[in-house]
Amino acid sequence: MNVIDQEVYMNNDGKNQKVKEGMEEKVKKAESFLKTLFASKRLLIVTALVIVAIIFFIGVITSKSGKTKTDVYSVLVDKKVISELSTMYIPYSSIYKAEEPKKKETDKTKYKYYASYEGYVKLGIDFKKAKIEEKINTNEVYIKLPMMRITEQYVNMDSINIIFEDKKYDKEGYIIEVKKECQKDMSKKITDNARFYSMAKESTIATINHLLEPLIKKKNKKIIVEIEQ
Amino acid sequence: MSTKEKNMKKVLVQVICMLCLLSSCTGKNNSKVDIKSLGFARELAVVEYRFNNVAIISQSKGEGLTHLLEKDRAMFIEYEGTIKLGIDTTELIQDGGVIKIPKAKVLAVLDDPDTYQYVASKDSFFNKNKIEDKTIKDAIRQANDKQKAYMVGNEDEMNKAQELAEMYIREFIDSVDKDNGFKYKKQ
Repeated sequence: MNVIDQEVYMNNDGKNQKVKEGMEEKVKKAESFLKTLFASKRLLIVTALVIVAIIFFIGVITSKSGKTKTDVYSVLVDKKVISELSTMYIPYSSIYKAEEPKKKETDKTKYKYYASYEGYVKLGIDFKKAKIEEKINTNEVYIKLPMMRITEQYVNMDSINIIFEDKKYDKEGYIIEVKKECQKDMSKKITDNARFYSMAKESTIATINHLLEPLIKKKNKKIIVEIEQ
Repeated sequence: MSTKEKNMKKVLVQVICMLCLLSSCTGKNNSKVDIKSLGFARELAVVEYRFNNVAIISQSKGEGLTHLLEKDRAMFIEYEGTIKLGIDTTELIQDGGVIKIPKAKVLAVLDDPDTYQYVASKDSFFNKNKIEDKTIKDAIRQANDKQKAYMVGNEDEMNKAQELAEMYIREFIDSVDKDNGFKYKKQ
């Protein structure tokens, strides 16, 4: 026992003696544990792996994604007076299959991607081109309207979902190219569908009659509307 | 194999089976059915504006272990489009000898896909910080909404559009019957 230990003992402080004995026991246990640990290589490797896994896990859960900011600059560049009367609204959804260009005609068709999209098309007429012909001595008025056409078409970019068959097309910003193709696809499919045009004609005639309703009621006119084919 | 080891193996197999069962139960099935129908549109568009938008997306690199060696990114998107102003003809009201013309509204904001141009900064070779499609969609939507908000707040242009619609309707009705005697008023 050294001098300090003697003094503590001679102060008759039983509590200090017990604490000192306790500390010595803990140190001995720790030394024993470390000896066992370093003695077994397998245990050492497992311990190292566990520590690395814990560090990695903490690194992953504390990771934060970067922030995104968008600035927008807009200018109006042109103004045009128009007279479009839209009379039919057609919501549309479809799947566009983008074909890979074929090297030979006999090659099997391959696809770059498949894109599902939603959009709409409006059909109508150029209102200013309506021709009015009133028959003399009768209450009949003939209105000849120009041909039906697409007045508006739009594919909603938010609705586009893509499955890439060829991963080389899965590039940043490619969705913009896909939107162009989907819009062309929708326009073609609507144009080829005669049923939509026939429904739009009925709607146009109803719209013109609605516009002339005040006149029909007041002057008891009979309105006959025809649409150019 | 001792009894203790056999029991441990049994417990391990049971735990694995339970985990498999639990994982199969936690999948969510959120089906969505969205039905849109054909409809009659009764819109008279009288003015069309052409606009030019530039959207600049800035995406900073992330923090933490999984974002090591990432780079800050930027993307510029430029495109043109059209805004149409006009009236909904179903809102026309006849009150005796007066035809009330509804207020003009923004009928459509349409971006022109053929005019899109975009360019993005180089990404890191080691850890990609990709600008996702969702971010691009949000940027374009924000740009279009900004155009719409500007036009809705532009009373001068909206009033001019309403006057133009009134002129078209008046001319049309007058061409059917010159002595109709109708008067026109703004709603």
